[in-house]
Amino acid sequence: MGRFVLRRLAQSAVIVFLVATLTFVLLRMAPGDPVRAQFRDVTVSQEVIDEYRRSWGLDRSMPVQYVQYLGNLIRGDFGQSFSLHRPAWDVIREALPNTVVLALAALGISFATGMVLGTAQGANPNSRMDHTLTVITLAVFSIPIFWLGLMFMLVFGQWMGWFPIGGEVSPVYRGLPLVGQLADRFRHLVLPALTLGLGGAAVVARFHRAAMAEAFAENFIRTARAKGLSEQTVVLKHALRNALLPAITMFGLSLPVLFSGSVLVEYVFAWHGMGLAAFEAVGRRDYNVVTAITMIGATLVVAGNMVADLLYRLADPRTAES
Amino acid sequence: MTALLRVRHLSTSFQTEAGLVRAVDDVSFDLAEGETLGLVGESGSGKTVTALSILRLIPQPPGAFGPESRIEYDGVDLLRLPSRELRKVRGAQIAMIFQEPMSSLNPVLTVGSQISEAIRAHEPVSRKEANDRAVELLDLVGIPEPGRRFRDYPHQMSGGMQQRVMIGMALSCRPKILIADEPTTALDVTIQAQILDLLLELKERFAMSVLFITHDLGVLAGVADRVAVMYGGSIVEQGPVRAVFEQPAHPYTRGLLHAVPRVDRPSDRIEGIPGSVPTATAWPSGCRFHPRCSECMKRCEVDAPPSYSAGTDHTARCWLLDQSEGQRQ
Amino acid sequence: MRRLSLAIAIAGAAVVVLRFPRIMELFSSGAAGSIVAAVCAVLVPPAAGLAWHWNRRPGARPSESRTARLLDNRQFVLGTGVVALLTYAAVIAPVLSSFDPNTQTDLLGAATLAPSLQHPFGTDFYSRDLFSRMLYGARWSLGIAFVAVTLVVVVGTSVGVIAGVTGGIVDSVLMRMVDGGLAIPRVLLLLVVAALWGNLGFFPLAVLLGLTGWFGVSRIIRAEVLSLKERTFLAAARALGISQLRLVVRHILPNLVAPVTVTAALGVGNIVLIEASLSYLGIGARPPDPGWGNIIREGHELIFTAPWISIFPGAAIFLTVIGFSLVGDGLRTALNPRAS
Repeated sequence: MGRFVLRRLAQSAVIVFLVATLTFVLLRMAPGDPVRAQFRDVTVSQEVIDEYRRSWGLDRSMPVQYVQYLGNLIRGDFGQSFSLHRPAWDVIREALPNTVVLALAALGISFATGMVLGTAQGANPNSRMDHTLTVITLAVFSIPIFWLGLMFMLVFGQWMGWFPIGGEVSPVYRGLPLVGQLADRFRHLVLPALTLGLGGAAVVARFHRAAMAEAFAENFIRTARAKGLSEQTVVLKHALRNALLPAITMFGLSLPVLFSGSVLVEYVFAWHGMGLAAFEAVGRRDYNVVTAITMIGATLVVAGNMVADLLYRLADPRTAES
Repeated sequence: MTALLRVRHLSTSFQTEAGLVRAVDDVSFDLAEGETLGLVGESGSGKTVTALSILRLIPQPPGAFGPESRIEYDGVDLLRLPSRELRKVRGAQIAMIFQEPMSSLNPVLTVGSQISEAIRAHEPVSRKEANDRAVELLDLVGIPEPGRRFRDYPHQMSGGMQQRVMIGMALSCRPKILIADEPTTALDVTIQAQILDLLLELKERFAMSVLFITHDLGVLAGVADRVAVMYGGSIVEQGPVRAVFEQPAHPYTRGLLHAVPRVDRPSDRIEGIPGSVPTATAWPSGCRFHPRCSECMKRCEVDAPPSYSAGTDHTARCWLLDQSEGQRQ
Repeated sequence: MRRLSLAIAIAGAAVVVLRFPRIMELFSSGAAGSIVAAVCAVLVPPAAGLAWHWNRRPGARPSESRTARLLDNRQFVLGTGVVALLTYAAVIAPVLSSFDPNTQTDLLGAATLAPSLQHPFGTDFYSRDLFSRMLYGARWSLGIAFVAVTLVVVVGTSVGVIAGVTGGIVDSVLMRMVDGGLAIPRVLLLLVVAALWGNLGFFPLAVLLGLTGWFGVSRIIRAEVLSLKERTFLAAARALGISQLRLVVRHILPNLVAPVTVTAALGVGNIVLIEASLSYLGIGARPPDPGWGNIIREGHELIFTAPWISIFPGAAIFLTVIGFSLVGDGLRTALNPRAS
C-alpha cells in the first residue's frame, strides 16, 4: 500500500509538472504581447513597455524564463499578476474557496441524486420507471450546461424571483447577521450548484444503473435471496456494496469534467472562482495567473484521482491487503 | 414415508428474444423426509431451473410458471405464497448450495458475516450470538481456525473451502431440505470426494432431505436413495437408485449408463449417445428423445409417451413400456 | 426506418412546394452555394421517397441481420431522424430562409423583435433574422463536429491499435500520454489555446477539438484490441504464422467497426457541446458569423428582455446532442447483442 501511494504521488507530481510546462510554453508561443494587453485603452511609450518587460522578466529568452519560473515555484512563489499588480497566489487564494464550494455542492448533488436514481433503476430494470428515468437522464445529459444556467436564471431568477441571478453574495451582505450571511451565501449558491450538478447527476445515474444491473446479474445475489434475506437487504447490502466500487472510479473521472463545467457556470453566474479568473487572465495575457490556475486545477484533478484510487483499493477486499 | 416436498406439473418458461424457452415442462416428483433424491441429466436438460423454481429464484419476468404448476412444502404451495412468507421458507426450511462457490459468495463481505446474516434473517438473535454460531458452523464444516477464517473474504479461500462456507451457510438455520445444485462440479477431483463425504455426514446428522443435482451418474450411485433422470425439460425415468441403475427402462438412461466408464465391465470403448441435447426453444415433436433414440418407432415422432410403470416405485416415459396390444412393432 | 424515409420525403416535398419561388430565385442567382442548396432541396424528397419505396417490398432485407436489428431499433431511428432533419435544414439553409444571416435589416425598427410569422425565431439586437442565423449556425456547429470527430476517430483508433498490438514499452508510453491528456480539464486547455490565438476559424478550431478529444477513444479501442487478441481465432491466426500487418488489417480492424461507430456517434454530440461552450465564451465562432454558441452569447446580455435569442439555439444544441446520443445508444444495442 505504501509503495502504491508513493508511486501514485510521483506520477501525480509528474503530471502537474507537465501541465505547468505545457501552459508555460503555450502562453509564450501565443501571439499577442502581455505588456500591451495591460494598456489596451491607453497609449504608452516604448520605454515604459520595455521597463515593464524587464521587471516581469519577459526580456530574457524562454529557457531562462522557464528555469527562473521553476526556481520561484519551488520557493512557493507563483509570480506577480500583470493586470492586478499583486501576487498571482493572492488571486488564487480568493478564487479557490469559491470554486471548491461550488464544486463540492455540485458533486453532492450529482452523486446523491445520481446514486439514488441509478439504484432505483438498477433494482427494477426494464420497469416503466426505469425507462422514464433513462429518457430523462439522457435528456438532461444533452443540455448545454451554460444554456441550462441561463434558463435557470430566466425562470427561477427573473420570472419566479426565487434566487439571485449572479455573484456569491448580495450588496447588503456585510450588514447582515451571521445567520443572514449564511442564508445569503446559500441562496446565491443554489442556481450555480444545480446547473453544475444536474448534468453530473445524469451521468452518475446512467453509470450507476449499469453497475447495479451488472451486480444484480451476479450469482451471489441468488445466494442472498436463497438465504431468505429481504429484497431491501439484497439491494442495499449485496448489490449496492458491489456497485459502489465502479462509482469510486467514476468519482475520479468526473473531476476534470466538473472543472471544465465550472468555468462555464462561473462565467454565466459571475461566480468569482478559478474558472472565471482563468478566463479573465487569459484575455489579459496574465501569464502567471493562467499558469498558476492550470497548475492548481491539475493538482486538484490529480489529487482527486489519487484519492479515488486509494479509496477503491481500500474498499475492494481483493486489493486491500496487497 | 411421507413426502416433505411435492412437485406437481412444474413448468417453467422464459420469454426471450429468440422466443419462448420452455426450460422445464410438466415435471412431477416427491421428496420424502430423510431421503436423498438425485436429479440427473445433461446440461440444458432443465435440472438447475427445476431446483431454482422450488425457491422461486427464477427472475420473473422473463421467467414464468405454468398455471398447473404446484410446489407443495409441508402442504403449502410455494409458488402461490406471498413473498414475505416465502422468505421465511428460504434458508430456514429449504436451503440451497450452488455450483460455483466463488461467484456465489459476495466478494466484498467477509464469509463470517455472510453466514451470520443468514442466521439473523430468520432468528431474533444478537449480532454477537449470530457471529458465535457462524464460527461454530465454520468449525462444523471442517474449516481449520474458524475464529480467524471468520474474517476472511471469499477470495482468500480455496474453492473447496468456499464450498464448505456455502454448506455452513446453508445449514445455519437447520433446514429440513437441502438443494445441492452440482456442488462438486467446479472442484478438483480430490476435493470433490471430501465435499461429498461432508455433505453425506451432515445429512445424516441433521436428518435432512437432499435434492442432489448432478450430471455425474457415478457420484449419484453413492449418494442417492432415488433417482430422477431429466431429458429435454422433463423427467423421463425415476425410481429407486438400484432399480434404475440395474434395470434402466428408458433408452436415454441406458445410454447415460453406457457412457459411464466402468472398471467392472471390460469394454474397449465407451459408448456415447449420438447427437446432443436439443434447444429449449424448439423441442422435437413427440418423444423429445426420439431423434437420438436407437429404438425409435413411428409413434415416438408424433406422440409424447405417458408415464408407465417399470417396477415397484419405478416409472419411465417411453412407448417401449406400453403393454397394450398391437403397439409394439 | 421506413416511416422516417416517408416523413423526410413529405417534409422535403412540402419545402419544395412552399419555397418554390425562393428555389427559382436561388437557381437564377448564379452563386455556387445557393445553387447547391437549391439542388439538394429538389433532390432529397425523391431520394427519400425512393428509399421508402425500396424498403416497402417484402423480403427487402433478411430479418435476422445486424442491419435489420438496427433498423428495428426505435432509439436509432428516432435519433437518425433528428440528426437527418437538422443536417438537411443546415444544407438547404438558403432555401428555408430568405434573409441573409448577417444582414442588419433595420437597426432602429426591427431590433429584438419577438418571434413572428416573418421572423419565426425573432430578431437579435442588430435586427438580424434569428431563424436564418440558426440555419447557418447549424452549418458551422455540425460541420465542425463532423470534421473534428473524423479526426478523433482516426487518431484515437490508430493510437489504440498501435498500443494494443505492439504492447510493451510503446504501449506504456502511449497510455501514460493518454492518462495525462485525460487529467487535463479539456475546456480549460481549449480556453487557453483558443483565447490566446484569437478566434481560430473553421478548420483550425475543428483540428484543435479533434486533437484534444481522442484520448478516451484510444483507451476504448486498445481495450477492444487486447480482448480480441485473447480470442482463439487470433491465436490460431498467429500460430499459422500470419504477419502482424495482415493480422491487424484482416482480423482486428473489421472487429473494431462496431465500437468505433458507436464512439463516433457519441463523439459528435460531445463536440457540438464543447464547440458551443467555446463560442459562448466568445472564443469559438468568429462574429458576425453565427454559431449556435455565440448566438447564445449575444442573447446572454438580453436574457430577460429578449429570451428567445438564447432559447432557440440552446434547444437546437440539445436536439443535436440527444439525436446523436440516441444514434450511438441504438448502434451499441444493435451491433452488440450482448449489451441488450
